[in-house]
Amino acid sequence: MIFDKKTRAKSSIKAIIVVCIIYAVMKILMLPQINVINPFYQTIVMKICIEITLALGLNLITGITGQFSLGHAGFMSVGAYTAAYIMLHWTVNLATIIISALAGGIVAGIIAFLIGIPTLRLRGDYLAIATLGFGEIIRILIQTTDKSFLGGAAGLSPIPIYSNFELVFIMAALCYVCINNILKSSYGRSMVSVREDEIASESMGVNITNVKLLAFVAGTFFAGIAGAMYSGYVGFIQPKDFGFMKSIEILMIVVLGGLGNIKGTVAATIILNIIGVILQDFAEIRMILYALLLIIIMIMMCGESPWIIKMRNMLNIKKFNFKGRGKAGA
Amino acid sequence: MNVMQADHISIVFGGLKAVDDVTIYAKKGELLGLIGPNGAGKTTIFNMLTGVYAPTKGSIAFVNNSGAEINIKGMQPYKVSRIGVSRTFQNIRLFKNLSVLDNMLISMHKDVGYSVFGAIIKSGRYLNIEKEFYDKAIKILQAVKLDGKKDEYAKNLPYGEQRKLEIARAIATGAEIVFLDEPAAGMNPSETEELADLIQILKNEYNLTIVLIEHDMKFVMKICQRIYVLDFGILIAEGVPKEIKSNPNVIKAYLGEEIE
Repeated sequence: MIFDKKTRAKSSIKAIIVVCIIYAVMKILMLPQINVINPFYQTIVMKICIEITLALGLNLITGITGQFSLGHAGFMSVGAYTAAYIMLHWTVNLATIIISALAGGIVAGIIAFLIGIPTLRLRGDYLAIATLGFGEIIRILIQTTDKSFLGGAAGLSPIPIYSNFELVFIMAALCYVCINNILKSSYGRSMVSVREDEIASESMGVNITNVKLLAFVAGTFFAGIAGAMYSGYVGFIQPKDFGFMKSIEILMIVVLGGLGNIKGTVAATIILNIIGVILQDFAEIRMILYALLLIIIMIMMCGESPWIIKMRNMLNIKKFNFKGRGKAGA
Repeated sequence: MNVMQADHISIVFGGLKAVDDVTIYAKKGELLGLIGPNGAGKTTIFNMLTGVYAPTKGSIAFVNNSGAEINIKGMQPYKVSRIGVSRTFQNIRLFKNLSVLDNMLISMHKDVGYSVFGAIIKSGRYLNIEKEFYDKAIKILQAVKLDGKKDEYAKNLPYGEQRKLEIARAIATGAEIVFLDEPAAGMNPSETEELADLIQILKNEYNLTIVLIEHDMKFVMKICQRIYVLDFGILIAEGVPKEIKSNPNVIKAYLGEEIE
């Protein structure tokens, strides 16, 4: 815990240094002379950064606050379309990029607020179905709008390709810092308390409706920003990019990284994308291998700690105990 | 001065009258007991007093420190908690996957004085308030002798300590009146004795009014100043422990009566 300004300064500097080092390493690897990360891999790195932001947002909602949402891609599409619409009408420069990204996040957040008031009263499966329905509503709404406004089913193009590595990297890093700091504050603790036991946290004076709304709006705000960056990354968006499967994909990252574990989310995004790249040569059986890998990872997970730690322990300990869950889960 | 006044409260679940026309009150600094056989409606009364259930009939009011009387009709539990009413649960409801310290800090969340943005940038206010919360939590943990285990998961504590932590957490809300639902359940005689002392100490140190439900009669008779006895949702007796022990209605409720 940090209480004085000196430790705060120290930890901030440490965080900035870590971010700078990661950035510098990536940048050096991207140099044409070194060419470890060639232009093709660069697009993957950008995709990873966008997915990290999406997954961290969902982790705040599902992992930390325990509200099962299946509509994350819907909120992402709100951000993507908002930003794309702005960028199609304005000239592209750094200021408009930032404005459009923020607008994407804010519009997604406002919609989440309006949706959240009635749906966050629901629990578990019901909330999942409500958010799933919402995601589909957004998709179909965009699909059926007039072609001249949001492009309809044919999609919106050509959106200027404004996302670059710097932008998405800064976005992912800021998102990580924000969620990390919220987690360490009283707000983060109240979110976890809602996940753990709603009745108890309400009796302790926590306004659970507000806490859920806060997590929902903050999580979707990041989804909106990620969506905005996505639209400037692909240059062409269509409603079917933001379907149910996209939500599931993000949820998968969150679950694999460990619910409520933000470092795990980052690691899971990177690893899943690397697996995706490795498997791209096996066109047909790719999805089978992907699913198999997921099942294996899930089996190894078998516990509260993130599977990365599990794997590390596993490599140290010769005998892998499948009943490793222990007796703690009483 | 009465800090809690529940007048003629009744609650009906479908066709079942779980609590019928019960009037109870608590004076400032009192230690009250609420006893009765299983299914008498004790926990239901607690749930009404803390805003979980709204009584079908009757009114419940609390008097806060500044002397204002607040009727909790229609208030949600978190609002009731904010007037200084706190509770523990019959089946322990700790935040199991959080540390002991975090369990304490959550009950202070209602007094959080910084914004979400302040938390993100770790403003000066954030630092001050977090420090204040931390100190307060540690102080209460010291009183229940759990400060050495502040970083352990709540689920890993032994049963007796989980009970203590729940009491500590209820006090950390800054409550003036605390409802304890079977605090000694599942404890052995020596633990129960220790708990009785602990409750007395906490009550004096934090100027609490305590109402407790308990089945362990020795425990109740030892620490309660006044006792209410419930049976089938009806208040059958009220008085100091000595009177309750010899009250024929109470004996009948607990032991039955002779058939003549």
